[in-house]
Amino acid sequence: MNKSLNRRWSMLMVLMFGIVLLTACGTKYAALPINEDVDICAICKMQVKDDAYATQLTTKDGQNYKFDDIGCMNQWKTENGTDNIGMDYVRDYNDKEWIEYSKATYVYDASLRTPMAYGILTFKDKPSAEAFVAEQGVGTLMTAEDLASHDWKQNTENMDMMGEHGHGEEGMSDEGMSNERHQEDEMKEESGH
Amino acid sequence: MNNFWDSLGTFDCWKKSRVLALAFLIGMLIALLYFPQDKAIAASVERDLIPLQPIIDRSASGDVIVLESGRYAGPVTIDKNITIKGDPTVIVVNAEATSTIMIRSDGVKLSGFTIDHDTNEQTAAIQVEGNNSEITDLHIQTQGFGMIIRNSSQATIKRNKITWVGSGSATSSQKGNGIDLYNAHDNYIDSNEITGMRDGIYLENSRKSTVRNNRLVHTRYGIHCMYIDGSSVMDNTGEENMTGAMIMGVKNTVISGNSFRKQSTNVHSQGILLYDVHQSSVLNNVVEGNRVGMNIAESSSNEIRGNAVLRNFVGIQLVLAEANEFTRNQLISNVIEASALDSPNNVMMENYWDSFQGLDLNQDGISEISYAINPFYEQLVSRNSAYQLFFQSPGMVFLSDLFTEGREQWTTDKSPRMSMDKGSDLPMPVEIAIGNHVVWIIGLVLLGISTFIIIYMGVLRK
Repeated sequence: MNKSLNRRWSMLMVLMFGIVLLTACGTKYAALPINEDVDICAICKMQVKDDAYATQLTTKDGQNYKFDDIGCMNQWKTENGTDNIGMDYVRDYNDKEWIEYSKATYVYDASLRTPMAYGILTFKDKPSAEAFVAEQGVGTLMTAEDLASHDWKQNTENMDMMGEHGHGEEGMSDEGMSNERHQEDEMKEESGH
Repeated sequence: MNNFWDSLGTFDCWKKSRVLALAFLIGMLIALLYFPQDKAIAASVERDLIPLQPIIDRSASGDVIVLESGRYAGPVTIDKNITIKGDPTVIVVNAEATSTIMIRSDGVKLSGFTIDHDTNEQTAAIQVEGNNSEITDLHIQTQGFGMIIRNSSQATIKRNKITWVGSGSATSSQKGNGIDLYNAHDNYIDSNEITGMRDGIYLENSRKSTVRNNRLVHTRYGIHCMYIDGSSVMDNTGEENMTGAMIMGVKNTVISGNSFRKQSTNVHSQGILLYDVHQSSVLNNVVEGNRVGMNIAESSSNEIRGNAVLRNFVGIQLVLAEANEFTRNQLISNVIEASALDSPNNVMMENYWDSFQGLDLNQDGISEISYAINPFYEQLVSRNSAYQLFFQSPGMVFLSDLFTEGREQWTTDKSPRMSMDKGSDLPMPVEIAIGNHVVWIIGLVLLGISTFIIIYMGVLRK
């Protein structure tokens, strides 16, 4: 009788210990997978696609917010402050691996197309970012610290810029034009939103 | 194999051979049914395809090519201003990973025929890179995009049918947009019918475009505007999309006369979303039976007038919407009429809120009591969206009634209307009971008969 009671108690203790262990693990942050059916950007309300532009942050009280563009995450930070953020993640442009915001390398150029037109791509290491810039011929390398002083301008003005460009086009040779268009299309395809 | 037959020890020889024969027969039958026929069809298709590129190459600038009924091989490139016509039995087929028809010249006209774009790539049935194109009455069946329009102006796109024919289970990111414009201005998109695509009509960085009278069904976002200036979205209809119209980053645009119904299949479905919209007008739209009728976020200085918001779960939702003019709208039969959070300085006047009990002392049709939107719902849900489950539960209603602190700052309609605006030209599907005498007479006759039966069969028999 006494023995079985003891056993029960020890069972309970093990359970309690397990729960304590589990909750202790819970304070470590992990990036959540994107579910395209239900995830929308916490700022712009657009569907978050499971692509390299998606970002997310988890607050210290365990709330997770997902964003379709790093610019939207920045908007969230300006609205809510950064004190309560447990961890924030961005994704590698090439293999979509989640990386911590502070450890990523960033490439910015106004001509890069991203879902909300902030024009910032993220890479897990400097060489791959440099390779991208070399390949595309545009882009400025940035670190997370550099982003703090970034102006976060969305590329919406090229409505006018490109308009002027459009007028110039007629005079240009066909060859050069089509090349340029191709590049632009490729970029667009990659951004595909 | 041997083991298998050994284990069937109970089978005698006769049975074995019969089973074998049967299996062989079935195998033959299947082979007969599928193999040769499939090959035959594929072969005949390959043979029957008429090459289209040589026909285009032979034509001179300004020519009109009328295609005869048949199947034509894509992809093709058009680099001179020609017109290609055909009827729906003219089918241009392409399974290669490039756009089926690439327009590189100005002034190209296409009309009447069918395009089968059978490749699930980021390519389109038609890609336009020239100005002044006219694309009319085409039937586009695509597994990629419908039309991609880049850096080109003054296209007229009318009466086309664009249908997704790829896998029915494809997620929205595997699909393409119906009509996709980027940096394309002064375009006229009218009376197209778009079904099953990712975004029906997607406009980005485009000015002065007109999107009119289109019909958008089963898409992700029916009409999706990003960074648009000076355009109009008018008289379109949308049903069963994830969101009817996503209007984002827009200035000086008119959104009027559209109707978006039954956007309710996704947890984030809504009729119209305005995000980052400024100095625009949203007039006389109907949003009915959606999860959220109209969601207005981070938008300012817009005129929102005369819209009918009917039978939605949430009628209108305002978050960080400032200095908008919200007048003469009608909110009828919504579960939650309106919710507002951090939306100061909106001018809200003369709307009709059907659950509101007003008091009209001077008989001018306008209530002297104001209607304030309780932000309780919005605050609760923004913290934890799972709380939506408790909505309209008695406890929640009680709590939200208690929650009246800071009422002066709530978004408030100072002069709500007492009755529906019947004079409006909106198609209001509210049934009006006609004084129908026939129904009364039939009712009375039925009552008489039933009384008669009860008395004679029941009461008198005793």
